[in-house]
Amino acid sequence: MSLGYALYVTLVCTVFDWFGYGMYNMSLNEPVVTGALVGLLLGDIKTGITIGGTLQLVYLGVIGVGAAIPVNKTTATAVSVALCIVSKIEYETAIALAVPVAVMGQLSNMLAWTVNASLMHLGDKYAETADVKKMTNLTYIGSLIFFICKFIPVFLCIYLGSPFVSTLNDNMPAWITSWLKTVTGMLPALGFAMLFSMMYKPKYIPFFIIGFVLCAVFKGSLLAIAMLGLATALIYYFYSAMAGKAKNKGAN
Amino acid sequence: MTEMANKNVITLTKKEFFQPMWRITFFPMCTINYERFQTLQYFMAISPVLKKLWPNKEDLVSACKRHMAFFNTTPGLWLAFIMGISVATEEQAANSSDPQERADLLDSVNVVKASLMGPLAGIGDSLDATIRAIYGAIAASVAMSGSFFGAVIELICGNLYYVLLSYYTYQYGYNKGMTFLTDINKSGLLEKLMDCACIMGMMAVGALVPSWIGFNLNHDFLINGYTLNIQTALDSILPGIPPLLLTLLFAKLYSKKISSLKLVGIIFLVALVFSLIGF
Repeated sequence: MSLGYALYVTLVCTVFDWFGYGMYNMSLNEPVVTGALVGLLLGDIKTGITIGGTLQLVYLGVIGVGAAIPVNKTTATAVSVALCIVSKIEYETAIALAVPVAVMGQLSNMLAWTVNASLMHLGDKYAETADVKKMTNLTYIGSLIFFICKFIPVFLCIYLGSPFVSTLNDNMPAWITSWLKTVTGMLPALGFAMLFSMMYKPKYIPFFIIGFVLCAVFKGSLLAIAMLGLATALIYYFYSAMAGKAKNKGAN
Repeated sequence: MTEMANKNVITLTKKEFFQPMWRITFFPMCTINYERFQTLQYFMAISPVLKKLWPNKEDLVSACKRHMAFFNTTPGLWLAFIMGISVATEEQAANSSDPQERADLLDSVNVVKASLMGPLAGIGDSLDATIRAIYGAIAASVAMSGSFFGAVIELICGNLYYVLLSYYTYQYGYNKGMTFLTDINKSGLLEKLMDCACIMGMMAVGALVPSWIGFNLNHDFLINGYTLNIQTALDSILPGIPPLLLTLLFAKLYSKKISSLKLVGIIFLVALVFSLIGF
């Protein structure tokens, strides 16, 4: 791969990642969007959409709570779509590659968070003289730091990684391919499980069962079941006011 | 000095009023760091208002220092809301003729920020994630059937949700501020909204489990000339049992504080075992 093309691919990957922290995310950092757009810019939309959709499900439950930085779904999506298209590897291998890349994205964010802390001290200094303009400029520098902290590792991944990944893919024994296929099938379960435990309360279990049966037995589409979910939530909203008040009276 | 301030009441124009909202909405996180998180960002967003409200250099210096205090909360859901309260308080203080009242108001700016960010973020992070997971899952399932429309759904829903929420909560914070919070606590509205989101979310997760986990026990066992396919046998009882068990198992492990990375490791191991057996 030529250096110029590697830089182009890296730029495509980094830009979407940048929207996660460096700017307003505009939903461009969601795997399904990142995947589709990286695919579009690298000339294979179909691959981008499929990988993006799968990774969206895998990372559905991954959220940043408080001060914890989660594994980075955007880096994972962008790099695995890019490698899948550039190195022409199997879809399952690309999904499996997303796992270490997501951790790399997390580490590079940690680096940016650490470097950015130094901006605070400059900010304190400028605050002494109320230099609002300089303080505002610091935020652009902060944004740039996020871009640089992403660009370098992603470039190394693409430039050094893609020939390596492509040879690996060509010499892949059949059992590894089938192993990765099973992994790809199982990974979304992790995303759903994290989402499940985030929302879990015993009182919500009936709704989980209803959703499951509607899909597994009655083969309803997700959109249709989500609509029924909305209806159920609205029923709860409108009819539970009285019950809640009666309960409060009883308690008092 | 006070008399002069009394005569010149500073009012914000419509453009000036919305500037902090747009700034915090479009740059919520870009200086986030381990020391003071979103602080610098918050200052940058509110700075045009501060400049207008505090023409006196000394006042502006103390305003700058005031907003360099630690701040961090959920973007989208609460950031604009708290910003609205801050702008309202700063404006009230700048136009107050009583020095004591002004000092009290200014003291309250950071107290309000600090007392709101923690509890609100605690509810906000999971409520926000639940809502985004619902349309995110729908977008993903459309995308996996190979349609570009999945990305379009995510873009439209994501942006509408985020920008509209900022727009309205900002004005709500500015107009109602603290009374809104006491109201919402009394009526239990927030808990109710959380319940509604979770009901929808749980039904969506329930529906996702059987269709999007590609894990089954499709393998023929030959026992004395009789073929047993575990998956077919299970399907005749209830379809989708293996993915259901898998999800519940991971949920159980995850709630026992086993990290997601370790769970990924477990997936790789379990998948290896299954693929070696020949499933």
